[in-house]
Amino acid sequence: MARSLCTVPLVLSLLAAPAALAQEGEELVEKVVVRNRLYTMAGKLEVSPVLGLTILTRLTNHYNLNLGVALNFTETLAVEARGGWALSGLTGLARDLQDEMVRNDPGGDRPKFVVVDDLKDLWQLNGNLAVGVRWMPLYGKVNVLGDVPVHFQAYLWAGPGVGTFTRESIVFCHQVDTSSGARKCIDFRTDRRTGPLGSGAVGFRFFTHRGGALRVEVRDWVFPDSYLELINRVDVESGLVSGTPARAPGLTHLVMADVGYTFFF
Amino acid sequence: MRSLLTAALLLAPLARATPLTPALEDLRTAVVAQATPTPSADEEEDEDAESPAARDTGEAEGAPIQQTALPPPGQAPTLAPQADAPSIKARPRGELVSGAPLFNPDVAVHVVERKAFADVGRHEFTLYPFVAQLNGKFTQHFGSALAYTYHLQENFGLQLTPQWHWTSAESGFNEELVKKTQQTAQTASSLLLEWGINAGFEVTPLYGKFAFNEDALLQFSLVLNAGAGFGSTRHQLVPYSRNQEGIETEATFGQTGVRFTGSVGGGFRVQMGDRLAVRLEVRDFVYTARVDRVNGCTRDDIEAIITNANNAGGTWGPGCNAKSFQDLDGNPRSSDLAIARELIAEPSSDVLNLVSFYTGLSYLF
Repeated sequence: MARSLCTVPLVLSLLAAPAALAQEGEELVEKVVVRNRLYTMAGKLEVSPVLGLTILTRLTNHYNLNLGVALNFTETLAVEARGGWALSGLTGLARDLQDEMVRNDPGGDRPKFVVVDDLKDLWQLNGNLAVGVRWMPLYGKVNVLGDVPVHFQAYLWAGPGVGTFTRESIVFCHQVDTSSGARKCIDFRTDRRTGPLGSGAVGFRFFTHRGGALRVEVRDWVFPDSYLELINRVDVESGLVSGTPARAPGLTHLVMADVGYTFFF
Repeated sequence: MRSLLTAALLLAPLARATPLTPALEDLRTAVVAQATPTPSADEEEDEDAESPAARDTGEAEGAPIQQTALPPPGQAPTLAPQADAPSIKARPRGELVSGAPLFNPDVAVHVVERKAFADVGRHEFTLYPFVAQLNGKFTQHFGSALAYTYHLQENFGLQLTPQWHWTSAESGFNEELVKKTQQTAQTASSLLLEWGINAGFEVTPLYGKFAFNEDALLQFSLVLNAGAGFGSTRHQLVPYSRNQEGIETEATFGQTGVRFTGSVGGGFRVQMGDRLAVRLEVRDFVYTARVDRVNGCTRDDIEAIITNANNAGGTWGPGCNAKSFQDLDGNPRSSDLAIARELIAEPSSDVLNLVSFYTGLSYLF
């Protein structure tokens, strides 16, 4: 053990020498190119219109229109507030599930799906506002088509916020229309709420000139889920209340691909 | 494991100090020049980097063409122009400097970034210890992959990528649909890829560099790859379950055959010295699926196995692996048989996209 400990400094010193030489060479020849940033951020205010699209749609679909306002305190740290409205709705898969569920008459001769649980992750994000810290540790340059240098930054973003949400149930139907011979729901239970959310993102921005940059990021909006279990469909179709809140509904993650443009002032 | 970590730690700094290859020496001495007097983005940047000495002399400022010949390794470069350097106008127009006609006013020599590491002629082994599916709607895959790349040219290489998914099962979302609504994805849409091997090529159209936290400088390339090959598919029959007494039942699967596959992908390769690189990629594994057999058995074969299980006789084809529907004691798994029969009752087909995130470590030699 002691011998191993003695060997460590020796090995480290042997490794450090060539590494230091290489580092020195890089510092003299290379580093200045990136270290002297062409686009400096410290103290700048920025405004960013952004469009977000859901990457993986299961039961809900979103198009999030956001406007972000950020202040860069240093070259690598900024605080950004972003808010907007998400156009949302159920996917075709969710509509098919609704139709299939209603088609089965819980009070018929062959009752099916009498007592059911609602599905997870059905809350749709609408209004949203989040304030976060943006850390931009990477500043780089890439050559596009041989001789067009494009400067970029990579960043991480995290912060809390608040949002308004809507939820349309898949299984909870208040009123069924049977006038056409087939069972069709005309009033699915819809809930609305305002609540907390969190948001985290990883992204790049590519500077087009001193006044702007193209912004591309993957952003996760996370918020608490809630839904009802043990819903008696006979009761709810008769106008009665049924169902108990799920004990551990977990969190809903809404992962979006954001594309936007940042204007620097 | 500890040895591997130690070796990696030892290799990293050594790799950084490895002298450049002869081919790279040529690149190193490549002259950075701009024949047009209009300042480009790079020139602005270089002005920022200019030494105070150069600013004092004012020579660089007034020069119509700036040239910077990088010195050989071990010799400190001089950013300020030499006082006794011959005037650019005095040099013959046709003279080539490192192969570039810098003194010909009719020729525009573009700015070319020095590439610190050459790839041409090198072999690259990449271990992707963690591959995670990103578009897991009805399926969820986690696995590992290995890639071998031979860099035929600086920006073009041949690549072979075997991968294995140590977890390939239906997603939690699909299981929720089955449990709560008795609905499930079409058989072909929830086909699982157990393993696959693709051969293809990789191009690196872009390269660049970045500083991390204003400190470390790293080189990177944008990599794009494509390939074709084959892979083994399967379908989940009975999901994993655990009853109220805590008794667990493992998920069961039925083999659905080897399929042709294709892949396209892209990502970044960040050079961590001369021999090591980190790769972050997204690849789309595309495969077609038409499910008409499970464990080599057609619907008629499965009916025969069920009949046989009920001691009513029944024979099945030679390609049908009836034993795969038996448990360890040799008893037929009736639920597996029933689900397999349902799966192929209505043959379905689909083109599946298995989009995954690959994180890998490369060794080049």
